Amino acid sequence: MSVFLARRFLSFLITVSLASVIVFLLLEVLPGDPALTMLGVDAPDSAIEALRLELGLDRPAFVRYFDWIAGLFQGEMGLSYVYRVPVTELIGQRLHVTLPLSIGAMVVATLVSLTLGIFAATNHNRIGDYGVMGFSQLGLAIPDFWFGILLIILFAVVLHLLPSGGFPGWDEGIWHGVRALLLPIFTQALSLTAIMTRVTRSSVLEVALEDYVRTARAKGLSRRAALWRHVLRNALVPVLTIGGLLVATVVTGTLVIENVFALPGVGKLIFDAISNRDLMVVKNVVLLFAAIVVAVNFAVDILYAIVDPRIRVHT
Amino acid sequence: MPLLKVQDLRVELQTSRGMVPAVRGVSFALEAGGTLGVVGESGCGKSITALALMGLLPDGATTSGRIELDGENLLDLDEAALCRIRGNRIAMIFQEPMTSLNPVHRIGRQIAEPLRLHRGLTGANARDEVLRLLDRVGLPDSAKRIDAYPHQMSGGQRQRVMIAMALSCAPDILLADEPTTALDVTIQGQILDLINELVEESGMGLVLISHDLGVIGETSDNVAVMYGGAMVEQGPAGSLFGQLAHPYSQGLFAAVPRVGEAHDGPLQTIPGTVPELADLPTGCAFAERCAKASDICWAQVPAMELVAPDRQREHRAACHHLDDRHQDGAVP
Amino acid sequence: MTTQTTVPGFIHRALRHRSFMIGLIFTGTMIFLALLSLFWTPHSSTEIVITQRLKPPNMNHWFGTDQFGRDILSMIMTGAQTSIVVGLIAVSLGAVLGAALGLWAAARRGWTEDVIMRLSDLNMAFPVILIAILLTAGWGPGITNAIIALGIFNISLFARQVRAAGIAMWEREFILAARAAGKDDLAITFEHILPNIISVIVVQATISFAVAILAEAALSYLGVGSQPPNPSWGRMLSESQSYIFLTPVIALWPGLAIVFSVLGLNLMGDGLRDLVDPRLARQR
Repeated sequence: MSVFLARRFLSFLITVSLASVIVFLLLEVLPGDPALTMLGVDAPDSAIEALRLELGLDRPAFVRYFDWIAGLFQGEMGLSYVYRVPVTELIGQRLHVTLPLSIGAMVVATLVSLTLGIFAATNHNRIGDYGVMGFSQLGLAIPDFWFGILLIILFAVVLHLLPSGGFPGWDEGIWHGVRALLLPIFTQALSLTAIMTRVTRSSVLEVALEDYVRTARAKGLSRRAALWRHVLRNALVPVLTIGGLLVATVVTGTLVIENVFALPGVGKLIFDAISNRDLMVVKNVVLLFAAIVVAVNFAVDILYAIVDPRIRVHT
Repeated sequence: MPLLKVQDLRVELQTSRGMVPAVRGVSFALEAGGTLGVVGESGCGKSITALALMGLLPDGATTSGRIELDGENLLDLDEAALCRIRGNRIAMIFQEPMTSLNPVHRIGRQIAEPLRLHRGLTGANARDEVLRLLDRVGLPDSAKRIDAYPHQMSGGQRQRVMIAMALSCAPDILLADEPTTALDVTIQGQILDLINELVEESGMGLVLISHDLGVIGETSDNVAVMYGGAMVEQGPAGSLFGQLAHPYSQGLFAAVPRVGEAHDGPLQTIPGTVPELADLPTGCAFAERCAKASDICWAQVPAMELVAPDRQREHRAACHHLDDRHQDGAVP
Repeated sequence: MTTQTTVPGFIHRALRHRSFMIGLIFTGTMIFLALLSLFWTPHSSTEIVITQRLKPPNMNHWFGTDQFGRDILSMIMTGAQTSIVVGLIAVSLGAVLGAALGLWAAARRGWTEDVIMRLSDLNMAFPVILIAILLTAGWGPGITNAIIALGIFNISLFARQVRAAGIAMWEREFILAARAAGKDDLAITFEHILPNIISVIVVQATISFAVAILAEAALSYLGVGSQPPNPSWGRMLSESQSYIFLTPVIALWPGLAIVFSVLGLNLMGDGLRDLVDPRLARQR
């Protein structure tokens, strides 16, 4: 087991390192002179030269890369060119919006999809099942940003119940913040739910037909007891394996949905940074997102091995 | 009074082609300590009969008839009452020990489950009982095995675990659906012996289902032959094997090659194939494969009639041509 | 069961598969409208007519007009061109290169396979939009960002699928026989492995097409993808958002177009999966 853990961890480190190389190449090496990128072609040469000196951009790419990585190990992401504050600070502020949004969406999605998935599986081939499958198909086809706009139209334009965007901050009181996040959370939850419902349903179905469930019933367990004690744990395993897919969806969703609702979160930070040509922010935040996706995939692998003892033997 | 009495059991299954009769009027009785061997090819309805006894038929199935356990009709009971009976008074073991055990639970836990459910045993008490059961079914090294996962054991060992699970609450009846079919030939004998021992020791009733005539012959007091969802012949093993009455039974036994005999030509088979349950003909289900079939066979389903000379009125077969049966068909 | 392996038999079953047919009709409609828009649209999709701005649906403009007076229906039709082009290029890139890598990985195994799989893992760490963002930051916004990002993503996706299917194929006995007869890996790959896994590729391509349409729409919504004057459903939605308090219906049509196309492709993909290999269907 520990060999397995060690190998997986090594794999994780390598992947994140390669990711950082890619980010660096794509932002600071391949497009040409970073100073030029940041100031634009129209800027005077003197300004470009000044920036180059200030940010140490005249050093070779190697050196700049390792400098960056060394800084990351010390928890330093450098200063934002536009705001002149540490990038870490900027991220910290924005997390006050992004974290509740992402976590809220995942909680909602998990609750809804488990319920729907189990409901569909236990009503296999009847109306309930078809309804859930239809809903899930639709959910996969509806773009999240459009769903967000529709929700805004319904709840803000027509019903005047919720704000159409923006975030007042948590200082005004918890309720105001939550109110601003309600529509974004449900918007984000849609795509997650659509994916998870399908997987839950099909894996519950598959497991419920397994012989060992029949054995459990033959021992005297009721349907519900058999479901809880034998089916769910095995059925949740495939749901785990899509954890990587889910986190990628959340990351993507953050970027898009914060834009739809004009929320000052980490996703919006990237976009503002791109408009402002703030490479320092873009570099670090994108790497952060990539690292999170890889980390979740890694965690999923570990969890998978814990839940299914057969895996431990082979890897 | 017999322990279990089944009368005119009929089961229809829901398939893509509509409701299909899978069991068409099966009747038999099982005494305490007795063994009924049910033999027939795949698809003849023997497994469905067992599942019907347990109340574990797939969704959409309909059942009629009577299944009397101590005089009470199991088909009248609600699900909660059936749950109290399953694993407790009637237990079942299945064909595939590989897939019939939950891969992510340790076997100790799986054996303890009916103990917990029906006897309220937990903790150390349950563990002790499980160890005792493991020893009884002949699983070596029980103290270590109790914490093992199914995939760490062989097929024969897994089947022993299944048996331990089934017997944990000392049921009155054990249904064994093809318990040895998926096992190596060398292990089959061991498992069968184990089952026989346990049955004798406890006085349980055993219903043993198999397509293997050898297995049925070795263990059963009474034998029933099934074809196309119905019993075509049944009776005490001695009478039945001594004088096979139904053409299907005769064909089955003739098809088994006997060790030591010279073989001049190809192996004997029964011509034709088993009909799909959805396509059963009116009249006798075996008619299209039977050498003796005549007009009445196609028109009318034969009823169970005594096979003469039966002094105890127990050996019966369902055939219109019982009187002109052959005299051969001795047991291998 | 010969009907399952012949082409006429396949077509026969396909015609009777309800969700596949629905998907086919939806997708076909979208493609037809896109092709039609190359020659004709009810009105010009670019001409600005301020007097007609923000009109609700009427006899003249079936879907109404946008904030510049442009006919929405015409814009939707031309927008389909963008979606299809992006989808086609991105999926073809992914399918061809990805399948090639996957076949190679399946044939060679060993460290070649490890490298390819490692690269694929890496790719999974970068969701499409993240790659597109990186490209935008470096080179500025444009439709090529979407195409490249999607293309790269698809390459690794197809590589994974094809490798998995390929490995299963390599272990089949008739392959062993071919090798014993002296055939080399390249020949075996093209003559035996590929024809047998083409169905996997086709199903994946259909589904990736749907994903491409969604991704292209998201990127143009964000302003990172297709730029004016290239028509795009995503950008239409982004522009309409400012006007939803005046005429909410303006935000309806581009979204419906996206849903319609994606649903059609997803249904086709699922249907194809069922038709091609019932075993695959059960795994999902």
